[in-house]
Amino acid sequence: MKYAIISFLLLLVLTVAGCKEDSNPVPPVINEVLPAIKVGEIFLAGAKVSLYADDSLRVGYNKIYVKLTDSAKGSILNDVELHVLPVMHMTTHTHSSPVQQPEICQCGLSPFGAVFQMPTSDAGEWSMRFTLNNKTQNRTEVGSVPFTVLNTSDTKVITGSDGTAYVLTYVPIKTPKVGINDISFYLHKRETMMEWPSVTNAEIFMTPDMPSMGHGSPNNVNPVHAGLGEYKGKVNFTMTGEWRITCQVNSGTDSLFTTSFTINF
Amino acid sequence: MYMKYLLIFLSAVVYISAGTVPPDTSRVPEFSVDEVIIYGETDVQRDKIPYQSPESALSKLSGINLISRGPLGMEPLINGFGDGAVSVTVDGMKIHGACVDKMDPVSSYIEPENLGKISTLTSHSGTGTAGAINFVTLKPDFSTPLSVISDNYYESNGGGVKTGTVVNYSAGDFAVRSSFTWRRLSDYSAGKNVYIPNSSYTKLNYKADISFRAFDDNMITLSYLGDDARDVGYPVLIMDARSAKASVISLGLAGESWSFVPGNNSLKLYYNKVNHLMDDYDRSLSEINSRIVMPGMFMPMTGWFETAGLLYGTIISDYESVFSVNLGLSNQISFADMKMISTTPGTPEMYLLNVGEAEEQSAALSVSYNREMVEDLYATFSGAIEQSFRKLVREDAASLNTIYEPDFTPEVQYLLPSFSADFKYIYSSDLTVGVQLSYNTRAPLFTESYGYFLFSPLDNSFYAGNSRLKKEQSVRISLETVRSFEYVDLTLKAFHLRFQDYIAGETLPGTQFWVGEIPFKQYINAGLAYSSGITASAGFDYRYFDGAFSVTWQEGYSEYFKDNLPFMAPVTAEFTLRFSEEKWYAKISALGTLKQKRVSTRLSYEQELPGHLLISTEAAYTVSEMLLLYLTAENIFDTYYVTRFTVNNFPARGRSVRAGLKFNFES
Ligand SMILES: [Cu+2]
Ligand SMILES: [Cu+2]
Repeated sequence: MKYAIISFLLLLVLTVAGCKEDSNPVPPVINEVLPAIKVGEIFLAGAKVSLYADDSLRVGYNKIYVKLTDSAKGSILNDVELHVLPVMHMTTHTHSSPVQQPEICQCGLSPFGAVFQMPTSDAGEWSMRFTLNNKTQNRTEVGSVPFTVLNTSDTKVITGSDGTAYVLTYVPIKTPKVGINDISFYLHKRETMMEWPSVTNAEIFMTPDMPSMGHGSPNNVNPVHAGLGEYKGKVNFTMTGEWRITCQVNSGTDSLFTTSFTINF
Repeated sequence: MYMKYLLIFLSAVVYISAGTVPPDTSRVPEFSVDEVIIYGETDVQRDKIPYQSPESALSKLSGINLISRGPLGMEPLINGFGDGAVSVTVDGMKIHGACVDKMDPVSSYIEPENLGKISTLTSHSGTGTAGAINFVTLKPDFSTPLSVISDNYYESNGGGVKTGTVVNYSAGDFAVRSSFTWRRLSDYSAGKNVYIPNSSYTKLNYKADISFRAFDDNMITLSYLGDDARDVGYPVLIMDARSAKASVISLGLAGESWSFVPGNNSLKLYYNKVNHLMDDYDRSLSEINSRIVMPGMFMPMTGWFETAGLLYGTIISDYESVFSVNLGLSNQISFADMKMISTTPGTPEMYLLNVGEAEEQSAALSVSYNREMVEDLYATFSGAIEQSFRKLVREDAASLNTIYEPDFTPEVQYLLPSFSADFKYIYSSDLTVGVQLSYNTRAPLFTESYGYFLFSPLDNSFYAGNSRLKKEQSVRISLETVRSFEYVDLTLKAFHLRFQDYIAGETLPGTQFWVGEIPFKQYINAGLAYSSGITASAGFDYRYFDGAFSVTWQEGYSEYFKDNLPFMAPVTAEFTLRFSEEKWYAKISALGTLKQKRVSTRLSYEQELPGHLLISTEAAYTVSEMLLLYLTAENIFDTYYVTRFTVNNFPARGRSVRAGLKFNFES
């Protein structure tokens, strides 16, 4: 009788669960729609590590994807520990840049964000350094994938009034329109050449204006910290044309620095 | 103020001395309408010389003033109130200019050749809050088999020329009337020969009406009016009109037997579209780079305004009363935008949507009843109700409006009631007294509701619309009395007009709204505003001579802004003396204004005005029934002067001598 009840309950659970399509215990499949750009790949610790991006990597905030597969079987690997670090080798020194560590995704494509503060040039080249612990094989290896960063003016590295170097990045609005737009910035600082943590307690005062016309716009919302160094606000564009967004970054009552970005639409 | 008391005193003296004369009931007073007859044989048209423009005809009406921004397109004001507070129609049809800078009021699309008369209404229901102007166009004449009338002139100031011809042809149940007018003016000069750049224009106007008489008394009329003005300079503004076009089409049916409703029924379907293109390409680079508003860029602007509608009305009259019912349906859409092209190469082009397709559907019903109440007391009652639904169609425009009005609502409705009562008492054939009371409401203009980033040179401010404006309301009381003597008529008219929720612009607080040096205003309902005026006039008529003398005083005040209302006329005196006999005709007129100290400084940017005196003359000689020669001289002493009805103290036209001939053939 006890078994009968348990079997019945089990059956019921299975039936109900079966009704919900997404709860089917289907093994994770690789998202067949891969991002547009393949940046590079490397074999590490029995895994193939592939780097993807939606667009060419450029100075500013970039959303990057890492795909991990078993190098022999081709199946998705997610029982791993992965650490990424962008590294720029310059003639005199080596430095890193602000980066968010990827959260390993069941789907096989793990996104992360990185801010590149300089473009690839004769003075230096970028590579992404991976430290991968493949738990299924209990192996840890380190390797690098080189990549190219195009130039933009979306990131400003400025020494603040407190002597610290800050990295302020404007995330380009996808399709700027007249009226109100969401706008976001990332703020990081240089702790050491290899450590660029996000700054989460700054205040940003944002002023949009059209320099060619000498006017601004009213009713903007200053960006406030929303996590991981990202500051989200709202900007009003009263007409199309070239806009300048000036940001004054404060820490408490101290003004750290002021800089501006240009948007043209 | 002294003037006011003086006038009241003077008029009192006149009335006390009025004798008691047996009443004469043969005069049935008409409803209070001021009108100027332009074409047509009536004794009202005593001016023998053809009107140069619709504006010159309009200016004959009492209480009408015209804002001059350039040589064309003067905006008519009734008692100082313009577009919005005054509704303007053509044969009762709604029509509106397409220029957000008001370069093209409705009067700019009409020519004297088109017009039978212009009427103004100030104390009637269903008008704007300050009145209405209706342009009545001429229709084919069945009684004339063939007529050709042609007016042609040359004028000295600016080398203006005009040729205008009207042809009327009729045969049996068919008649057609067509007119063609072409006017051109080069840059003119203000008084003292001050050259005014960017003040020329070319204008073409054509009209055709075809009428059929069908089923006994019924008449079908198809009408088209087209107007095409090019390169019109607006020296007062920062831009000139490159092209201003209007097309007005209507199909009407009128008569008694076509409808089951009793009375004289008329039905009309109409459509009109006004297109406007203006730019500053004719202005010098130094002007563009140094002007205070948006310096350093060219600003081509486009705009259009489209109206479609239906009018139905019937008039039922017997010997004692006149009853009329009118129904109007309309749909209006308006659009305006501009580009900003920097004079600095490499600067990206900018774009502004000024009115992103504002649309309105409206239905209006009005009734009017006129009869003799008790002996010698005539009354007219009228009432109207209009329901309008309006909307800003384009979403990108709505998001723009949200910048200045965070609670922006793209859809609004207005219920607009109005009513009036008009009493006229005929005390004797020599003395009549009239009192008119009216309550009117109006919806905001599209630009007041939905306009975006519109610059007004009157107060050098940018304007943002306000979608949540309430309707503007007004109450008006007018008095009119006429005392007649053997050769002289004395008339005294007075009015008091009170607005509630008066629509005007208020400066937005904070410099974040400013555009360079220019403040930003938003339309609001600014509480109470009022205006009063008195006109005293004496007209005389003796043998070959007639003439008139009048003095007008007016003031207006906004309680909300603690400011005088803009465009209040200074104390003005006018005198005309006319001589006319069979062959010769001559007229001299003088217009003087007193110094004006009460000016509007917050609602507008008016400055104190000195007084001025203008003298003009005209003469005509009738060579034959077919030919009239005329000569006019305006501002004969070439006085340099500025009127209240302009922008930034722009000087008015200097002396101009006009020589013309009017040809008239009839078979
Ligand atoms: Cu701008
Ligand atoms: Cu215009």
